[in-house]
Amino acid sequence: MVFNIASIRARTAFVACLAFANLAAPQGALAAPLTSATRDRLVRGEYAYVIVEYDGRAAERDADAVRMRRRLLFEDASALSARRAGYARIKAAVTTHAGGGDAQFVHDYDSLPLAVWRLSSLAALDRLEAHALVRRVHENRLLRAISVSDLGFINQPQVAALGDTGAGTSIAVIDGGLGSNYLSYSDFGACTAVGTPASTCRVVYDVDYYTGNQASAETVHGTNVSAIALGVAPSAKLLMLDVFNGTSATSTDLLSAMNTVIGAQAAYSIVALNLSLGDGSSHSSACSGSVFESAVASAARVGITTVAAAGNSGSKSGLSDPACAPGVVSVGAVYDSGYGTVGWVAPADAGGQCVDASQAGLVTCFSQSAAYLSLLAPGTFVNAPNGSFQESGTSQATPHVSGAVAVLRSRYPAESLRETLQRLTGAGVATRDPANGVTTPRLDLLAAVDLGTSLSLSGTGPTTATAGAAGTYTLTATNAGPLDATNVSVSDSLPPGATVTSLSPGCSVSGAIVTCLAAALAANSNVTFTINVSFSVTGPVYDTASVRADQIDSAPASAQTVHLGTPPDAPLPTGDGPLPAWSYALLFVLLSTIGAGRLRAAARLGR
Amino acid sequence: MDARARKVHRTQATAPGAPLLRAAAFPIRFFVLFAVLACASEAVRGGPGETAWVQHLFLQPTAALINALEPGEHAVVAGRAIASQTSMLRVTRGCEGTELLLLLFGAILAYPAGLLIKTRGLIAGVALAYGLGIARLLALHYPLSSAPHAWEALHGLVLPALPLALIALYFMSWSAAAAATTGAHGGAR
Repeated sequence: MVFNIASIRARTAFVACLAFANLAAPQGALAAPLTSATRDRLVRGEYAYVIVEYDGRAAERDADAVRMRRRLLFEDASALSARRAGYARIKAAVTTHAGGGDAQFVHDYDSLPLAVWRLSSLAALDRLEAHALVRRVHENRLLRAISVSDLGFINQPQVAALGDTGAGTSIAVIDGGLGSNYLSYSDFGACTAVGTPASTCRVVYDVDYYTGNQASAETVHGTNVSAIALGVAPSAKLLMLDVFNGTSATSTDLLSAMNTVIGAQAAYSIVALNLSLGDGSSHSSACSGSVFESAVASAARVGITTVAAAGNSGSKSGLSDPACAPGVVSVGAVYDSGYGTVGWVAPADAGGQCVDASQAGLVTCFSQSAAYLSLLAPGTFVNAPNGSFQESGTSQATPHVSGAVAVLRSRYPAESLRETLQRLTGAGVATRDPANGVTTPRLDLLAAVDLGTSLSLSGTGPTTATAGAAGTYTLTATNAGPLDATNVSVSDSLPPGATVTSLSPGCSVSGAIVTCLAAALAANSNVTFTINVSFSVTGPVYDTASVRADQIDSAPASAQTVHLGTPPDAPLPTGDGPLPAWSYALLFVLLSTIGAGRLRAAARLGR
Repeated sequence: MDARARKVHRTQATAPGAPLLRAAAFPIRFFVLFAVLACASEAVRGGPGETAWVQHLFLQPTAALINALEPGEHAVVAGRAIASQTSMLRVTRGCEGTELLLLLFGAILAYPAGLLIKTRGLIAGVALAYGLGIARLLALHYPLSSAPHAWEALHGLVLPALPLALIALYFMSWSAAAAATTGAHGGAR
């Protein structure tokens, strides 16, 4: 069974309102497409910018009259001018009656029956909505270039702005296929065929196990899921394996596809395997007997993280298979925004459906849950590709995580899959499912990228040297976590006159620089390196060492650097001590005066 | 009255203004003698003599004193510097107080007094100048490591002024004693 668009029908109040809005006559305000958050702001006396849509029909009739009088197919400059003048009159009338200190007209679109207002009270909104010449008051929404509708909710745009877009990785999606959709939507990279043109097309592999049996809904599902993953990781490539025969797939076909993906890992640098599908079951604990367990383990061995949908039955006591399989990153769905009261088909619910008072971050009532659920991600009303298909479900939450895996694997290729999961779960926003009280981390991609280690370095060693004597520098790198550190490198700059006599394993010397490497340093552990030297100089010596690793580190730079001895050019502890010239001159004058004075006194006594 | 006194007496007898002239000539004699001593000092600068003088007589005893007062400092002599755990004091030209000693030498030698009195004055003056040099290096070391913000003021003003004052006081005291001795014997030169 798959979680497809047909199985999850959103029956929402706001959808009904929108439908009503389309039918209703523009007399007075209709159901305003403003979010409750904006209304709440106004209730609190905070300001909000809104877009006011006017009833511009009178102006348009004026323009039509001009156009027809001139026998024009389209408006010319004079007709447009007439329409603009009509809009201006309407806007002025509304401003006169609804404007005020709490409702300011701030920006005009002179060719449109629209203008931007700044409101600072609910009363101002009410005045506008009640005005006969106002059709609607719209939310001023954020628009994003990428089509996936909720990337902002997982902080993906910030990560993309940092350049972390999953470059050099691929995501394999085993689903309902793309059909020809990937040729139509630019989110797939302007393809003319699979992998063509190679410079832009992001679909590098597309196989259909049952050619000719693609159901439209399954293609939409596969296309939507794939586009979500590519939206999160906008430089990643896609492999699509369509295992559906009509509206269903079998375990054997799924295993066959997983087998193919594992074999293709090296060729395509596949890092994530997306399974937005399940059998509808509910397992209260990890299903170690799952047929998919070994396939998931095999995928992990070649560096592929398997990500699977928790299931949409609404069961709050277990996950479906393969999400329940050990090693799988299971994903439940949350709202990315408030959509009012939303009803869902949820077979596990007593009435076969469940209802949410939706709000951003709320776990959906249909999302299956259990104590071992790995992550939550946005899974409601997700628009992709290019805003064309809107779907909801844990199916949609799952590719958010698959894309996130691609971003993290691209950014931190030396990390283990366990560390990638550490990032995803450790940086997630703790979210409690009100239905069962289980708290699960919600995907925050920016925090996952930023999560790191806390490395510090300490050391001992000589600060003064005697020619011919030996010395030992001991450097200890400590990782306070939360992540394990990879490719830990301690670099020590030896003082002039120090020659290495022996080193700890893992250390090498080049010139005066000793570099010690540890492939990994687990959280809350340390590693110590020893550098034995002999000195050819006598006097103060200064040695400095620092530590770094692959991960972003939260420790201050000062904690990661060790200074043994006094820097030769440090201004304060070093001083030159010549007497100032004035002291010589003064002493000369003093002694001359004293001597001459004494002699004059003696001469006077002598007289 | 001994021979020197008689000679002075004769001088006084033949030239009544001579003592005042001698007083006036003292700075010149002092300057000339100091110049000669400074040139001699310059001639040995950079050689083993200076090394022995500065490193062995000033720096090593100072480092030993620092270590005796504070063993954890591990002060060692490195060239013309005293290096320790906390600071490095570079003893550059004149830092140890050689020039002060030469000035005192020049003043004592230029002052008209008996040989014995001068010898005693020079011996005590050397001891004083040496002690002041060591004390000054010690006094420079500690603020350098513990109060570096105060170091410049100490180094530039207080620590030069104090030895100067003490040397001047010493010369004043010595010259008074020399004058008294010479006066008791009927003159001085």
